[in-house]
Amino acid sequence: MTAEELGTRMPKRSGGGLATVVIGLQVTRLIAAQLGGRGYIDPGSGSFAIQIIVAAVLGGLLSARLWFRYVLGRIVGLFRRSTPEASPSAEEASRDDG
Amino acid sequence: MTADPDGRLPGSFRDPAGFMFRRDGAYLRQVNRSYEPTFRSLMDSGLYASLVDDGLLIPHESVDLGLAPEPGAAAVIRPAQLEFVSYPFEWSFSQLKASALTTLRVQRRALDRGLSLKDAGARNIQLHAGRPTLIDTLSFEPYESGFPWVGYRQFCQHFLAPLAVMASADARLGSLLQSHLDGLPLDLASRLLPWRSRLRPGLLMHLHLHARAQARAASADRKRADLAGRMSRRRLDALLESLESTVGGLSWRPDETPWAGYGDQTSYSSVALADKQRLVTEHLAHVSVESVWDIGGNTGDFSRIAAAGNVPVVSIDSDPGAVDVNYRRMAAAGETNLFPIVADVTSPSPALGWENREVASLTSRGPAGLVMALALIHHVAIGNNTGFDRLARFFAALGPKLLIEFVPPDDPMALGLVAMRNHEFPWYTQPEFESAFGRHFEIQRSDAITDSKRRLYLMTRRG
Repeated sequence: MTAEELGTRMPKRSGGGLATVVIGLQVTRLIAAQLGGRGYIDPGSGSFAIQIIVAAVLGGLLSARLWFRYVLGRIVGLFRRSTPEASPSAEEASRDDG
Repeated sequence: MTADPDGRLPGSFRDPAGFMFRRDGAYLRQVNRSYEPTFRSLMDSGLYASLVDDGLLIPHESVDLGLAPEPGAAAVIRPAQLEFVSYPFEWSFSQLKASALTTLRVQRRALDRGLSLKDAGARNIQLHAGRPTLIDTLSFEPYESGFPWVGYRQFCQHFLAPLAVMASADARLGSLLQSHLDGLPLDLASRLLPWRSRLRPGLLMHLHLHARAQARAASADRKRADLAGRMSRRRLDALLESLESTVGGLSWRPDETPWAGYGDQTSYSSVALADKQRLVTEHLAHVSVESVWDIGGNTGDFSRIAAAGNVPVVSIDSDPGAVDVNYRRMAAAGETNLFPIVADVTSPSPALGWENREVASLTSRGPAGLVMALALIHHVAIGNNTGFDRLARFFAALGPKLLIEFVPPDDPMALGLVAMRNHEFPWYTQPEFESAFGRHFEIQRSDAITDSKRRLYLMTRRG
C-alpha cells in the first residue's frame, strides 16, 4: 500500500518557498561555520549547536515581525487620534534577543 | 512489568532524581535527596497545581517516607495509578501528535515558573483520564537563563521525526520506534522523508539540518558551561513556538485504509449487526470484570459497548488507520477509559530495552479481565494458519474470561480468506472450534446471531 492509498497528503503551502530556501542556505552556512569539519563525537553536541542557530534565526524573525508591527502601528497612529493598544512598544520590538 | 527483588521497576533506572518501585500492588516513586530542591520548586512554584489542573501532569500524593526502599530519600509519592501502559510504537499518529503537544505545553509552562524539562522522551507520556499526560514527576530541572533546551534532541527524535515520517511517507513507519527506543535517528528520518518536506521551514530546520549537524557534530573540547548565555528566553520561546507549529501542521487522515471504513461495510445485515450489539451487551452484563482487551477492535465500536461498563478497555488493532480513527473518536468524545493501540495479535509487542525489561511485552501487561475477540478468529485461524487449540491456549493465557465470535467456514469473509490459499481447512468447523476451546474454557453461553451464521460464545477458563 502506498502513502497515497493511505490518504496521506502534504498540506499545500502557498508561497514561502523562496524565503525557506534563502533561510535554509543562511542556516546551512552558519552551521558549517559553527561546526567546522570535525568528526562524529556525540549527536547531543550537534543538537545543541543547531538549536542555538535555529533559535537565533527564529528569534530574529520574531523581532523583525514585532518591529514591523511597531512601525506599522506608528504609521497608522499618525492618521489616528488614539493609538491602538495592540501594537508592541518600541522597547519590546527592539529588545535584544541574543 | 516485573520488579527487581527490592521492588524497583527497571524502567526508571537511569534517573538520579529517583525511581519507581512497587509496594503492596501500588506503584510508588522515591524522590532522592539530591533532587529535593527541584521537587520543592515544582510543588511550591505553582507549576504542579497548574499542570495537574489542566491534565498535563499526573497527580500524586505524598506517602510515608518509611516506604522508601533505598537510603537517601527525601520523599515518597504515590502517583495516580495508570490503568494501562502503552508505548509510542503502539500509538496511532494522532496519539503521538497529542503527546508531542502535551510535552511542549508542559515545557512552556515550566519555563514560566523557572523550570525546564530535562527529559522529553515519549515514554514519559501516558494516557490518563483520556488525555496524554506527563507521568514522570521528576523530569524537571531548574531553568538556567541563557541555556538552550536539553530536551530538544529527544523531542525531535521521539516526536517530530516519527510524526513527520508517518504523515509524509507512511503511517506504518511508527513501528520504527520499536527498534529505536531513543527515538527515530534524525538521519534516518531525513532519508525517509520526501524531498518536498525540505520546503517546510520547521522540518528543514528541526529535522534535515538537525540531522546534518548531528552527523558532523561538534568538538570534544566543548563543555556544557560553554552553552551558557547562548540562548535568550525570547529565542527559546521562538524555538518552542516553531516546534509547536511544525507538529501542529503535520496531519494524516487515514480514511482510506482497508479497515477504518470496515464498520460501515461489514458482511452483516443491519439486523445482524443490531443483534450482535445486543448480544455483546448481554454477555458482558453477565460477567463482572475489571478490564477488557478487545482484540481486533478496529475503530472501537464494540470496545465502546464494553467501556460503557466503566472498566478500562484496551482496543487493539494491527491497522494504524483504524486505531487512529478510534483515538480521534475517543479524544473528541472525551472518553476516559479507552486505550486504542496498534498491535498485531499474531506477533504481540515484545519486551525491549536493557535486559529486555524497560519496555514490557504486550502479553505481560495483562491479565485482561475479559478478552473480546469479535470477527477475528477466521483472520488468525485461516489467515495465519493457526489451529484452534493454539488460539484457545493463547486467549486462556491472556485472561480468565473470553467473549468470542465464531465465523463459520461458509461465511463470505471466511470463504474469501480460504479462496486464495492452496490448501484446505477441514478442521475449521464449529464442532472442532467448540471441542478445542472446550479443553481450555468452559462455555457459559452461546447464542446464534440473528440473520447470520455466526455465533457468540462467553467462556470461562478452566482450572
